Amino acid sequence: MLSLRFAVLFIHIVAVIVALGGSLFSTFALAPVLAAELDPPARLRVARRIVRRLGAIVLTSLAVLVVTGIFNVLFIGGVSILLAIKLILVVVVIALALYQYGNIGMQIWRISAAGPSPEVADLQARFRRVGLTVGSVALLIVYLSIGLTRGSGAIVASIR
Amino acid sequence: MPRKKSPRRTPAWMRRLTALAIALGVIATLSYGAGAHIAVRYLNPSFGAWWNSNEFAIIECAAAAVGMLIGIRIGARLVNGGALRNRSMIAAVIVCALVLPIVGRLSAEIARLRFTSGALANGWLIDRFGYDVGMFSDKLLVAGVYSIKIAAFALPVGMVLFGAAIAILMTAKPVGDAAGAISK
Repeated sequence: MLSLRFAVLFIHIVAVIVALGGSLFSTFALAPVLAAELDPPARLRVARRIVRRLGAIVLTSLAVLVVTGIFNVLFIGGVSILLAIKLILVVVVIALALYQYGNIGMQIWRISAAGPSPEVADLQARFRRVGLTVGSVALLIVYLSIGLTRGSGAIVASIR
Repeated sequence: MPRKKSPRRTPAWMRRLTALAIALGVIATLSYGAGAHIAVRYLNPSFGAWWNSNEFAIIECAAAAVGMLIGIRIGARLVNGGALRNRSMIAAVIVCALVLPIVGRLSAEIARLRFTSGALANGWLIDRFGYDVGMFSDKLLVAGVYSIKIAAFALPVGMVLFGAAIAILMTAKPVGDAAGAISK
């Protein structure tokens, strides 16, 4: 229970929960409530701060995920086709998250300084679409991870 | 009519650094594959001995550096915002340089897992080019694939380092013209 391998796996899973949970909470709980309860200027003020803070949390979680993921691969001791697919999807998720927070989020931050505008609304819609894509790919990665450890082609079983 | 060139988004220092890492990786890989340390020893024995004992580590570090630099460049292309992007690139490159030996070693460990060029490639090369050239080509192929695998594993590390740098700089200080308006 108290091995390095266990600790690394724990941090890896916690990072997934933080990244995925934060994005899902923001998309499905926070954004609709903000839209319903606040007037447009106040909503925009809150939304732009959330974009920044959530971006920092998600991007940091992804960094933790990659570092702990590398150690996990070393502990497993083998690279299967399933794992290779998972790694490619991880690169896709990182790229999409960088685009979501570093590009769209940054544009929202800049343009919304002057107040609500149709351009900001378009960007927010795109931000949400990219966020949903990131969430979907992340869920697919989680599914592949279960396949790696519990499925018929479990890498641990095939190597040891 | 001459085509209008779009402005380069990658800074010149970053392009030079990537080119340097690629050149170092290619030279070390070719030298290792071809056993060129013997020629170097002939010209300068002490440098040849040093090169022979370090060329494999240079392959690993150069490949990891290429992977991480490409990762940072891909990350930077996805991000909007000049000053923040440039600062993040510089921060990420500095961190990359600090963690290069660790990332190089870990990526090399992963790249070595269950990999050989395989009897298939080896047999085909010997059939096609004869024993001497075939064995030589196989060693080059193994070294080349090994370098590419290390670079591939280091690529996401570069991307997330850039992402982490963006995240830290983004929250540390409001960026751009909007900063003043927001703080008010």
